[in-house]
Amino acid sequence: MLMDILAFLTSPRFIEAFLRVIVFPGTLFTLLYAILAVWGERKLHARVHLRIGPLHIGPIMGLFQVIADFVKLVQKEIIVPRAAHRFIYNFVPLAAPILAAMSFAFIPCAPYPFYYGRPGPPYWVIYYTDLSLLVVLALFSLRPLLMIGAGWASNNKYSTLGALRAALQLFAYEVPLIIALAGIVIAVGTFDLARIAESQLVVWFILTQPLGFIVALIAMMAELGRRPFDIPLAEQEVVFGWPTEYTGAQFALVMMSEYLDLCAVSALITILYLGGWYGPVVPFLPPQASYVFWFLFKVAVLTIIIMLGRAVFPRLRIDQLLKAGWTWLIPLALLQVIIVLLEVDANMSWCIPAIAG
Amino acid sequence: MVLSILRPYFLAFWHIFKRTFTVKVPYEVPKPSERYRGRPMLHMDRCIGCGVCVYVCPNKALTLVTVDGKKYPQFNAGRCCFCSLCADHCPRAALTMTYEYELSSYTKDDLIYPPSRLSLPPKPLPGRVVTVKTYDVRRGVAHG
Amino acid sequence: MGSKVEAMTLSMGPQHPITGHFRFILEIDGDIVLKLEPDIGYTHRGIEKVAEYRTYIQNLPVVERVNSYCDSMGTLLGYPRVLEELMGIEVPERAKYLRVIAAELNRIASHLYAICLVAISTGFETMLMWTINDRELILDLLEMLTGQRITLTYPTVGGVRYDLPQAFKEEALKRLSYLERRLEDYRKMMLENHTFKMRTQGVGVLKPSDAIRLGIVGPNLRASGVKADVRKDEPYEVYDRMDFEIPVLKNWDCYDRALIRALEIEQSIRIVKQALKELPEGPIRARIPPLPPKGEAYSRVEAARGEFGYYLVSDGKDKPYRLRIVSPSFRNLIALPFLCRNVPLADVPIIYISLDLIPLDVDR
Repeated sequence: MLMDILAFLTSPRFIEAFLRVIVFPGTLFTLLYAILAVWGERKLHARVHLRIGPLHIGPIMGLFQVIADFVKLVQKEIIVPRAAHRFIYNFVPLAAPILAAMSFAFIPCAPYPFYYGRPGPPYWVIYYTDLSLLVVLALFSLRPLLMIGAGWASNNKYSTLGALRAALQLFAYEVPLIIALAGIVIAVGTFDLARIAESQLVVWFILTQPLGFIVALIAMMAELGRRPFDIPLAEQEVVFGWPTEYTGAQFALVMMSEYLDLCAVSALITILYLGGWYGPVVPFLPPQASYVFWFLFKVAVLTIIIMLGRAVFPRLRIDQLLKAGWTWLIPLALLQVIIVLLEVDANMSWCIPAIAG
Repeated sequence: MVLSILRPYFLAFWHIFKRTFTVKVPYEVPKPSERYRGRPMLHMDRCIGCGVCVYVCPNKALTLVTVDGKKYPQFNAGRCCFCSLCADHCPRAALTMTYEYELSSYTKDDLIYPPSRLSLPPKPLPGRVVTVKTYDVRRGVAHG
Repeated sequence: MGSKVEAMTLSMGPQHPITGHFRFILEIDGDIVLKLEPDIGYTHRGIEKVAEYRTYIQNLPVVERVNSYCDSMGTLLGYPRVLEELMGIEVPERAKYLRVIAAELNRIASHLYAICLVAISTGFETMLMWTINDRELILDLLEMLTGQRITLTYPTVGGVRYDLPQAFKEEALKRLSYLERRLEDYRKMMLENHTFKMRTQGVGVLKPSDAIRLGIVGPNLRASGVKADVRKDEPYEVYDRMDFEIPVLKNWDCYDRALIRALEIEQSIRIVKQALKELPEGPIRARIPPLPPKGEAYSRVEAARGEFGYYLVSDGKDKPYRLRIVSPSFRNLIALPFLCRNVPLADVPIIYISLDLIPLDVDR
């Protein structure tokens, strides 16, 4: 019995699953990304503002500041308001990071080098499925429900207001996102993210569908709750929005879920528009490792672009935001889909990989 | 409209590579000018005990006390507003303003400076003294 | 018959990240503000009464504390001028030029601070940091001149207290030319930013007729299209010899109020450069009689926020009988309830901050 367990634990299949779930597109990677993203955002904004940012804690440049903040938050008292609905109130901060990390679980990150000759996904992904794009979008649609749950369960006038505005914004911006992504699905012919990435070997979709890229980027920034679409999280009139009442470790988890979402969104847009893991050959790395390197590089560039948006734009008002979404983004997304359909009709195989092969 | 959205982006991006404006107090301290109005310092050999400084102070921060038969001003750092009217109007220039601005203390009695303590020279600044060295819009302002 | 509108009363209290030390009582219905009522007095210090118990020289720091952290010269300059008018003293030429230089430098610092606040109210941290950084350079100049950065107490009865130090002129010219080039960056980053324009254009429109009827002063009046400035209408010190313009704008909204402060910074830089070039030699203080005669006098000064007036009644003793301070923010306060009728709640901080009301000025 024990020998069976030991044999299973040292079998290549288990080690491979362990590597994937815990190390690369799994726990350690997303947590490390969240830590580096918070630190990087503070440093980046500090440099744009001509100041330094975290400086003292850590070996160089305040690297451990985030860990210090996390430890400080965790050791504070968790306060549950007396009139709050306890189950939902305590459930949401646990569910939010899990939901964000779950949507990252379906995104293939790079081709997998160690192929043990067994049927399975040859990609760095935790769960491979044919419909991965649909699953990821469905998981993104669950986020507003968590916000509404938290806002209502807090039993606080301002939290409820903030949660309703957050839900309004997120529901309104899912429509242009899905329409723009429909353009890609029509072009490639499948929902499989790995095949979408592989079909960009020659030309990336950012060049053949630039409108769709812009619409998807803006809609994703609104989905995340990043400035200029900052209303859910940082209104100055109603104290803090839907997570107002959370303290201590719950607050830390809510903040972490925001950055895990950023990870998932960056990876998704990289796979869809920026060519996934393809790039010129790096001289000192074997080709398999260069795939991983280019994927990480593109995710980092996209993260920096999304983060810079916070430094550069003021906050929009809720009615201006909704108006911009309904009157500008949806027609642009529809225009993109119409262009893709016309290209399919004209049999232009250089931008529609479904026709080419 | 696209330009008005993209231009701030590029401008913010170039700012990442400029020099930072930060002065890392308390390791580096910005240089106070020669006329900086911090705590006043009493030169006991020049003071004649006339009381003009007491008359002209708006907040009653100075009072005359008797030390060894002569009158000298006693300074209350909690009431001073650092206007330097006392130093300007002293007929013998016995009060001069120094650059010492770190005057906090743990008790209120510690804020009252008797004439012996008022005539001590100012404490040296806690860090390295820096000033603005270069002004370059392309590279940023450098403190050195 | 219709249904009664149920309005919620919200109090943006004295301690709030946006309002400073003000209290607003808002009546809101959903997202729309129906009525706004300011509740002032949180920072009232009774300076007019305190001034009656201090001698004229002791009053210089006291009166300056009405509003010293934004615009110390603008606040204080009227007080020595009202005494000089009462006593009939002529200030020497060099002192007049020095007063103008310090007043315009302080106007630049105050307008940079106002732009910073407009940026925060829309959620724009980058402009906050940039303007405060550049304001440091101006405050260093003022420290070189007077010894303090914000509570200058620079003019006195009969002149100014300190003369220019040796290295001031070239430092000032270097810093002002750096600031001129930075204004280009501000223009690209904030004034041409599409989101900022979306947020501030069309918000809080104050027509010229309304502005004159309500008695608004200062850059708010000029952004509402009325060409009125004490420096041109009743020139004091040496403003009649300076060559500068008064910008007047056409759209009368919050964006114009932010834009006019950037334009006035440019004009102030022009004035300082001219004054530094034309600075004559001479004494910096005039001899003054020990006590003022009986009588009353009034003086007007263009501070950064508007027209600052002092009315002094003296009965021959060494303390004033009555000193009345007419502050510009108190005059501009009436525009706030007027503009905040039927606006979305998110616009209230923007309107409030674009009017540049300082609670210290309002309450004295």
